[in-house]
Amino acid sequence: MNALYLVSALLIAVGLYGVLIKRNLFKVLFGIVLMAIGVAAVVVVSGPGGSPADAVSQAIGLIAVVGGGSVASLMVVTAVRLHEKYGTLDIREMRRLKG
Amino acid sequence: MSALLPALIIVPLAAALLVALSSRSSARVVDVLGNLGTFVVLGLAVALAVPVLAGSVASWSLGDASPLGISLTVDALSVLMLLVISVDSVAASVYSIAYMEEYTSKAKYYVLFLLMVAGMNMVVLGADLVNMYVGIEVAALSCYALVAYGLGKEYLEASFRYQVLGTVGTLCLVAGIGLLYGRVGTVSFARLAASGVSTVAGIGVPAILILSGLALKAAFMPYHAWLPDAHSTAPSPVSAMLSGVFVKVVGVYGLFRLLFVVFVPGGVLATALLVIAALSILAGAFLALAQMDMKRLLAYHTISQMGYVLLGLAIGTPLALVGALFHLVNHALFKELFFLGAGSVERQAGTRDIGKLGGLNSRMPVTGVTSAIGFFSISGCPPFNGFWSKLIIIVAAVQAGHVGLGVVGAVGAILTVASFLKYEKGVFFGALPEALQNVKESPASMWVPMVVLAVACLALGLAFPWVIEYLLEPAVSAIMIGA
Repeated sequence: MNALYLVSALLIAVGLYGVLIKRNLFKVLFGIVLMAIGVAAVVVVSGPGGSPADAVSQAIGLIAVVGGGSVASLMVVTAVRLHEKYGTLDIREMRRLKG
Repeated sequence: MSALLPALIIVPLAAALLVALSSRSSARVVDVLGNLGTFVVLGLAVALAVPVLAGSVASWSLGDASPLGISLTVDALSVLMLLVISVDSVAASVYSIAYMEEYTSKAKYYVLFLLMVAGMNMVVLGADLVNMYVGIEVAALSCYALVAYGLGKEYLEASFRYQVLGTVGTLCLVAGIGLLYGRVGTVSFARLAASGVSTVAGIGVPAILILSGLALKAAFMPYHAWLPDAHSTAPSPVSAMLSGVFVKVVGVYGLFRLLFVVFVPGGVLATALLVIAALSILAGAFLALAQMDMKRLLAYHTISQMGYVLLGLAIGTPLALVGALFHLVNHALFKELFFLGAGSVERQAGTRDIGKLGGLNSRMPVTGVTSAIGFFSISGCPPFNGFWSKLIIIVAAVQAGHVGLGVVGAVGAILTVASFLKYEKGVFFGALPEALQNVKESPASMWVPMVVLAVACLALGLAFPWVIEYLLEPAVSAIMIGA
């Protein structure tokens, strides 16, 4: 059980690192996907009484994955469009907006 | 009556489908179908509101028991939010008829708009946290796409940033919901309220996750980074929906539902909410004061006004909750009015830079007058609606012993007056620049919604005792059930 928690925490941590530190749009996107998987895993693992077999926990985990997946597809589209406009995926070269 | 509950979600979804199917036909057909969707939703919401505000409750479920099946329930708080959603979406969709002409595909716009309405209706009708989460996700996804609707560089960039931060928020939320379920074994609002959850040991982590998720969605101060870009770059009717309704439904509504269940006024988390509220009120208003872009000023100002709602919520006395809900309703009306007005100015004058505008009262009298009514409401002049709600929140803060927070509320109100004086003076008063001599008033389909919202601002202010008695107090008792 503890190993499963550790894996989910690791996934979330790596994902968060991608979101906060990485400058490439697709690396940010991978960070989001990793976080979604980590969150789904931690939800499933922490069912009532620490049992991953609980149907509701699994359903909530599934919803987290589906939500993460649908956002990811929208982000791919947005990133591709941004690449068309700027010719780069580097977030530092896209500062059209003020603060 | 209980058949109205699924209808409120199915009607906008069906309307979205119809619009999508008829996207090849003329723009008139698309306009009629899109607006028909929002008007029917308004009709259904009113039909549901009358019996529910008179004291009855209704629920509906499909499939297994909650949360594996879909269960919907309605009480006075849901009805209040439904009315806010449907009034604002009708105003925005009528306004879109003329405003969205300049964009390429109106049909796609209405599809996304109606999906957003369906998602928000699901949020306020959901009987458990999981339904609420699904509704938030549906509404948020359509919102991300709507922010990027113009497909220019700044639209895409604002949308991408919003997608990243919004998704981090929904992931916090779903992690919190999952962990909460693991601790207490239920996600239904009714059972959570009955079970005395807040006393369960180790509730802190899920509560903090849910709080962070909702705060990111509601853009309270340390969580606000996405809001100014997203709200100012989106097409104006979308900005109006985002600032007017969206942040309240996907962010603040959940806090109201869980206030006495998880956060408990007087506890550590509620104190954290008070700090966030004070920070939002002051910093939001200061940042608004510095803006030269009409829509950015309005967007920053939303943070400050949501701070007032959070302040009333976190104090948690019945009077404070009345003030918080009243301010939520009022802000939905006057902020929608301001964004529609800003869109009208931008469309007719070609800019929304306050420094380049001026004297538009003589050229756009309807936009000017409705904007002035919005100004009186937002800055709290009696007898307009904003005066009563701010007064109630400040009085409730002082009554509950938070004199400092009452002072913060008053200072925030002064900063609000200052930033909107700048807005009004820079856009509607003063000398008319040479370049704007030929500006004309926007078409009737754009100014009629603004007039309706302006009249509503005044009417709610004049009728405030009845609004409080028949609309807000039932909603407050629905919130207090878990207390």
